This record gives sequence, C-alpha cells and structure tokens, in this order.
Amino acid sequence: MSTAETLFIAHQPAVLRYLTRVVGQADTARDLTQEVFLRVSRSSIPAAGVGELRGWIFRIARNLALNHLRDAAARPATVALTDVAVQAAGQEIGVSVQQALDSLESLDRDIFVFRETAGLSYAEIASACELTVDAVRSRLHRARVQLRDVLSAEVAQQRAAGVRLTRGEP
Amino acid sequence: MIDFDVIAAFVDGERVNARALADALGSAEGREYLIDVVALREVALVPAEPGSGAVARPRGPARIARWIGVAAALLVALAAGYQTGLSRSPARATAAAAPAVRTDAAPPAPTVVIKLEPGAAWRDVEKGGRP
Repeated sequence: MSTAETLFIAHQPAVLRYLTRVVGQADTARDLTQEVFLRVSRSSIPAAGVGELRGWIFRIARNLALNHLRDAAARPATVALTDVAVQAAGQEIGVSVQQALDSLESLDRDIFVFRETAGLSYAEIASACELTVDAVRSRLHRARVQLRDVLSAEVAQQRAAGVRLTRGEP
Repeated sequence: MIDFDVIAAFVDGERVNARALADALGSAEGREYLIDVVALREVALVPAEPGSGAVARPRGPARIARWIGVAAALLVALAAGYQTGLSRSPARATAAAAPAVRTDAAPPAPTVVIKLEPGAAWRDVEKGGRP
C-alpha cells in the first residue's frame, strides 16, 4: 500500500471533521477532503514523523478551506435548503456553535477546531498553522474564552446535563 | 494569578507541570475553567448538519440495494469486456477486416532482391569465438 493511501486511511476522518466544521456544509467538506488527498497523492510526501506529516496534511486542508471561504465570501449570499432543515430538525446548538466559530478570527477558529474536532496535539497544530507551540496555547485559550462567552447558554446547559472528559476526536 | 493555560493543556492531553496544575486547580476560578473547557468541547462536537460528522454506511435495504448495484455493474463490465474481446479476437478480426483472397492468383513480382553470400553477408566463426 502506498504512503498516500496509508495517510488517507489514517487521517481522512479527522480532515473531514475539520473541514465540515469550518465550511459548515457536509457536501463541500467531502469535496474538499477529496481535494486534500488528491494533492497529497500528487506531492512528494515529506520524510517526517507522524506528527509533522499530520501537520502537513492539515496545512493543506487549512489552505483549501481558506480559499473556499474566501471564494464563498465573494459570491452573493444564499440560504441553503439544508439550513432551514437543520433548524427544523432541532440542531440549534450545532448552528449556534457554527455561528460562534465564524465570529472568531480565522486562525483562532482553526486552532480550536484542529484541537477539538480533529484531535491534533499542540505540536501538530503548530506545524499546520506554522506557529510556535506557545502561540498555539495562547490562541487556543483566547478562542475558548471567547467561545465560552458567546456560547454561555449552551455551556451552562451542558454543565447541567453533566460533563465527561474526553481528549477530543482522535 | 491563575495559569489557565496549564489547565487547558492538561485537558488537551499535553504534559504539564504537576505543581503548576495543582496551583491552578487550587482556586475556584481554575476549577470552573476546567469544567467549562470540558463542557465547551462537548458542545463543539455537536455537528452543524445532520450526518456531517462522517459518511454513514448504508444499512438494511439501502445496503442490499448498493450491493445489488455493485454486482450489476460488475456483470455489465464483464459482459462488455467479453463482447469487446470477442470483436477484437484475431480470427474474427481477420475474417471481418481482410478482403477475400484469391488463391488462384499469381504472386506479385518482387521489387527488391537481396542476395546473401557466405563471406560477404556473414562469416563463420569458432564456437564461442569472436569474429
């Protein structure tokens, strides 16, 4: 099995989760995920450790996501039918989280999503975002404080329902 | 001053200084922050779109229908391959493409005649030897 296939099997679910959360649309996220691994397969894969490779893949994913969001911002705004369906299906929390994430600075948002939905370590996030680990730690704290304020009702609801310590998605 | 970073790093599975963590969790504010970080993580994992977290595997009738579709596609591919192979087989291709040959016709006259003479066109050498 080629290295590109191995990377796909190992990292595709986390890349898809990250892109889904950042672009907010499952279909678009799937297309972008395919594009990520297409680029991986066409690139000369760097000889690096697992963490650095993971950071490299997520750097590609982040660049694609940023390009997509920039292009989407240039297009006229539309309301997808799924948005209505989502709200009708009682996914208010998910929509609130999406809106709260959108309110963050893009780098802080990506760092938070890398950590919480893709399960990247601080070193992997630093590699993906080309930052120092200290900068990642600082920005992650800032994002959390901002999100805790914006999502105070949802956080309080979760606290009332009980909390469980997980390490985020693997 | 409370070191919130050390609490978050601990929750994130990073290695932290135990003394610094104990100090940070020694305050009510630090403990509240820990609970908020954990709660926020659970909130953040709620998908924005139903089924957006993963590509669901079809179950029940949908899964059976998919397998039937795959089997049908394989059968069509096999049949098409067999048909293509049949139409491109040498015997069939010769029969289909070649014009009728008259066996009683005289062979065409040669346009070039190449003469091979020993010593001019080739030389005999010893077995395993070099010329």
